[in-house]
Amino acid sequence: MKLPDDPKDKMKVLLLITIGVLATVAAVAQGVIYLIRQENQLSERLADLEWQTTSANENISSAENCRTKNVHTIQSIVTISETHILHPILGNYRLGASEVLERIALGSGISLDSIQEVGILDIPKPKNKTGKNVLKAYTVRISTHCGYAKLQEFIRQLELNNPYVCISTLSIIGQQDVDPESHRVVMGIQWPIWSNPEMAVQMMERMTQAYKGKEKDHADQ
Amino acid sequence: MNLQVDLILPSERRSSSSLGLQLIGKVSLLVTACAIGGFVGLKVMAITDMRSKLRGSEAVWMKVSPRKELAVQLIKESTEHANILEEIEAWTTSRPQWNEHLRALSLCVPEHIQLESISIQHEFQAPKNTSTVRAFSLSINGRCSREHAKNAVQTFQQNIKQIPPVSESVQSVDVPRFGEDPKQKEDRMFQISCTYKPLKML
Repeated sequence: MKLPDDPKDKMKVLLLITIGVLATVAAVAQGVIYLIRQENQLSERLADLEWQTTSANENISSAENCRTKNVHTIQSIVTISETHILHPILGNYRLGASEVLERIALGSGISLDSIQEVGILDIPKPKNKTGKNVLKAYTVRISTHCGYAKLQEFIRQLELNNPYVCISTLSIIGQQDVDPESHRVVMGIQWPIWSNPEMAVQMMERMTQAYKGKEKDHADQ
Repeated sequence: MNLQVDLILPSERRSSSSLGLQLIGKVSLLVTACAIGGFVGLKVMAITDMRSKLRGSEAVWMKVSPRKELAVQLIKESTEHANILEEIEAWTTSRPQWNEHLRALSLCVPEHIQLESISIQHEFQAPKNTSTVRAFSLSINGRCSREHAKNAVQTFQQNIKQIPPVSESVQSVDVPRFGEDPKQKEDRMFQISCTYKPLKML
């Protein structure tokens, strides 16, 4: 093909050719860029999905180990709740506490002059801890007259009987003028109680569910 | 005499070489087109392969996803239960065994000292707001005859610092009060104050 002789026509033809070539190059470049982008997007999505699957498999495998541990944890909570956490009797915590204290006092040979309810105390929560405390402190104050050895025995039995009970205050005052062998004793005793009294029942339900889940797991295997 | 006869016009002249500019241009064009075509072909194949892999991975994910949700729920519950148990157990680790402490105190009183009262105080504290602790303090009041007073009280103070389990639990043992008994001038009254190490609760 020959270019026209006329310089003006020649310029027009050359311009058209240049535009044509540039348009072709641009179209090809667009197509290639589109393909590269598609490939990158697919590659990212694939990598993302593979990462999610790997992470999910890790979660699944750690959950299998968790299941047994969870059952043991709930079982421990339920056992402690039944034996050592103080429960209200028709909303009254003092009755349960009195029963325990009178039994232990009888066993250690002292007689309690009085058992007074101090009340329920919220345990201050550190700022960095989220969520509510599950336990509160319930305190009673007892007063008695007894010797040091008997008092020591009472405290020993109390602490042995319930490792979660805490003697929060104690005052032993000698009575030199009245009876040097007998002291006036006032003692504050603190029990853990559930912040939500329904928690004991909820934990039992959770334990039943956890056992069912474990059995189902065994059956699936 | 030389005579030059041009049989063709200069514009009609052609190169005798087999490697012409036009040929190079055509070959380059062809190679470029092939390279682009090859590149596009490879990319299309890679994309098709990836799409097929993606379908496979999505199928696996559909199976794994519900199990993952159950697993995450179980892990969350397990952590929650572990925290509850930790909070309960803190009740037992944050209390001194007072029966042992009282027994230890009774064993370390020097012979010239007569105790008048013992008191224990307790409060919950959140010192740095990063944890809650139980803070206990023990106060002992007593009397002693004047001649032995200073040595006996100092011995008692040292004994408290050394006798287990009190020695392991106390932070400081001070004598904030030591003076004359207003009732019997011959006697000295004293107070020993023990601050216990804070015991972490939460």
